[in-house]
Amino acid sequence: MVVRVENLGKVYGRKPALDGVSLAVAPGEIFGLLGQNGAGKTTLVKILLGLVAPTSGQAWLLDSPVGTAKVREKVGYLPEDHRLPEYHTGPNLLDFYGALQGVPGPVRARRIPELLGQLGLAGRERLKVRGYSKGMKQRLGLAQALLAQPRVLFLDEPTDGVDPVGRRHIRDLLLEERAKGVTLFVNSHLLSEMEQLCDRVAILKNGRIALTGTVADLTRQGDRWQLELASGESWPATLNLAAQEIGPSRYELVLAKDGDIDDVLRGLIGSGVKLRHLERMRSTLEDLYLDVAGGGGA
Amino acid sequence: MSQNSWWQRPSVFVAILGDSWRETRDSKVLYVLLGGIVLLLGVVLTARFEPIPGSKQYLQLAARACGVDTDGLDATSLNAMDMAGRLRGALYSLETSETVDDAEDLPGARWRVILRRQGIPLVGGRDTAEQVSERFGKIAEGRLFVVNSIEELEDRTTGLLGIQRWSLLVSAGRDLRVAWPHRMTLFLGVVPLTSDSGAPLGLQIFILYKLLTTGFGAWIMLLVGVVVTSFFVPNMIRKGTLELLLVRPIPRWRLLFYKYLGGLMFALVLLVALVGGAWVATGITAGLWSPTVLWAVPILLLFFGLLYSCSTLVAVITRAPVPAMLMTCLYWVALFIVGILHGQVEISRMESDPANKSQGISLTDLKMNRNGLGPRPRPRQPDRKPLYETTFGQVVESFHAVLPRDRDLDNLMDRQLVKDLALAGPLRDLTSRTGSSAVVGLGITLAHLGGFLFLACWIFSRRDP
Repeated sequence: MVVRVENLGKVYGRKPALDGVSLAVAPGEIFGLLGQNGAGKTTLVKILLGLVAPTSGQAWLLDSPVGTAKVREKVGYLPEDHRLPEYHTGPNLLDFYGALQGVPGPVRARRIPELLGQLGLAGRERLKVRGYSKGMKQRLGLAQALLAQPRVLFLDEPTDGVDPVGRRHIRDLLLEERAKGVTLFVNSHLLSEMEQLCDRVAILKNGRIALTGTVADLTRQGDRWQLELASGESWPATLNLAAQEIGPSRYELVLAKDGDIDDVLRGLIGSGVKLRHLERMRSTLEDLYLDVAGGGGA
Repeated sequence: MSQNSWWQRPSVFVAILGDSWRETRDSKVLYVLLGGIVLLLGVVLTARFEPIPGSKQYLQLAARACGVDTDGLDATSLNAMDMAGRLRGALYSLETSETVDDAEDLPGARWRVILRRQGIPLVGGRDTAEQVSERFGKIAEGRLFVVNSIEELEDRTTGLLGIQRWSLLVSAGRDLRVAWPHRMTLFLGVVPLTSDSGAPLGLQIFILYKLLTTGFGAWIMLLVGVVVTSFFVPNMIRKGTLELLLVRPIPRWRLLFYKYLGGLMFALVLLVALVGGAWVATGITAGLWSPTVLWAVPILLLFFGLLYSCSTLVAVITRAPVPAMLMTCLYWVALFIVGILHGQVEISRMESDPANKSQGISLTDLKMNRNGLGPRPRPRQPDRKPLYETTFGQVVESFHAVLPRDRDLDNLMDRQLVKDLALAGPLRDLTSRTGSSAVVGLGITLAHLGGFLFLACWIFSRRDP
């Protein structure tokens, strides 16, 4: 496992931020951490990066205890609300962080223009960071996280402030990194992004893992189907199935098992009804998140 | 890529210094200060030092000193009382003196001198020409004149009376020019800064150095340095910036320590510009090159390092620049006040010391011992306890014992400067009789600096971001 956390707890003063959190992230996986503000997401990431010491429990990164210099060399991190020193130009800033990370000079000289190009920041080499837009700063922040070619990337709101085209760009870049075997640990409030990006997610609530699983499993809603018939058509009475009408010529069915939909289709065609659209219903990550994190209060 | 020792990873040090340098340049204050320094030095370059004719007093002094063993003698003690115990058994005097080839009576001239020795008749030996050549113009460690040629003037009658006479051809020794009175003007002679009688060139250059380097110039430089650098650490440890640094494979204390060194670099650039510029500018205008003034750079850098370590500690605790700036200034003011008060306590002790009374040390002497910066002491009230015996005096001395002493550092600098610039006169006294040791002062300063830095690094390493 790239990330392994066992019964992790953190208390700030008297306020618990994490309470018995356990999870594991496999190599090459994109893992999403969801939760309301104050749920403990950032604290968990900071513990994994060795920035904050846990009060109880243990955590490992790349099979080593978190926080060692050896582990940090293999980690990239983009914090939420990061503030890049504004007196640098983009290439200077990357060179500075690269040197701190231990990236050799020739590698930095090669990687920096490459990354700036990949993130759409080429041609702004002489511009100081204070002249960057929020989206550009976000992309520059991502570039510093990627510079040392890390084995694990921790990203806190990686597409915050980035326009839709830029988001798509970043998402593709992260998927490319995953394809290279990099493991990604992502915190974000953009649930649609997380749904498209992550293999697995966990929802933190009040410092505890409230729900965890693959995105596909968590969003499946059993065998609920929606059908749309040709205009003016109605549900045939001959079919011995209770369909709920949800609109003109639109119906929703709840079936007992997966194969029953074939019987329904045969029945419809046998009745001479023309089918125009059929869709298996899934709930969105947002629905799930609101159910778990939003319900019951903090 | 896995190298853990700092000497194996110089790129980290270079990177953080480079980062500090960019931050410094970005603040623009550096350019404003450098511009101010250039302007100031430009004014210095308009100074003119014009020697005032008149060699008599120096030739007379050189003649008198021939009869005295001045080795190891404090030049301020060249009065009749102090010299009495060092007489070689004869008195020397100047009979006549005149410049050679009708040259103007300035340090560049040569002089024909008739020197007279009055010994005790029929007692003691006679002086040889070699002895006189060696002694004439040598005063303590300095040399006012060198003898180019010497001829004894034979006279049987006076010889029997213990009198010897020589004719000497002398020229300026290495120290004559610094002791010679010069008239100083600014703006190419437009604004006079000395009276018509002038003042010794060494004294003028000493005061100029003091103003530009260890005095007013340094005060301004240190104050601006404290203000500008008080933003460095808080900027580094603010939320959102700190995490990007702490996640790197570098110990936290090293990040902070390197950042501290980056702040020192800012001060170093300014100090090199100011002190180096002052040295060059005065060298060009006065023709007097005293490299010891360059000691002001490490000495002032040490004092700035002390202030900046205090600023760093407060910044790590509060994460804000304004408290760092204010606390550092308060610390500085506290050191200054304790220094002033300690000076008063020291004066009260010296006034009460019977040894000083017997040596005839005056209040002026005592004032000089305190580097001439303190207020003039009031005459002691006979029915009052001396200040050093009061509780207040003891409290002041306790604080003074444990706090860094900026004056000791200042004295250390003066001591070096005086070696170059003051052959004789009260300047030497400024440094030769100072009560406290510069080594102790240095030690306490370094201990405070190290203590502040250690605490700052310790807190920084342990606290959650």
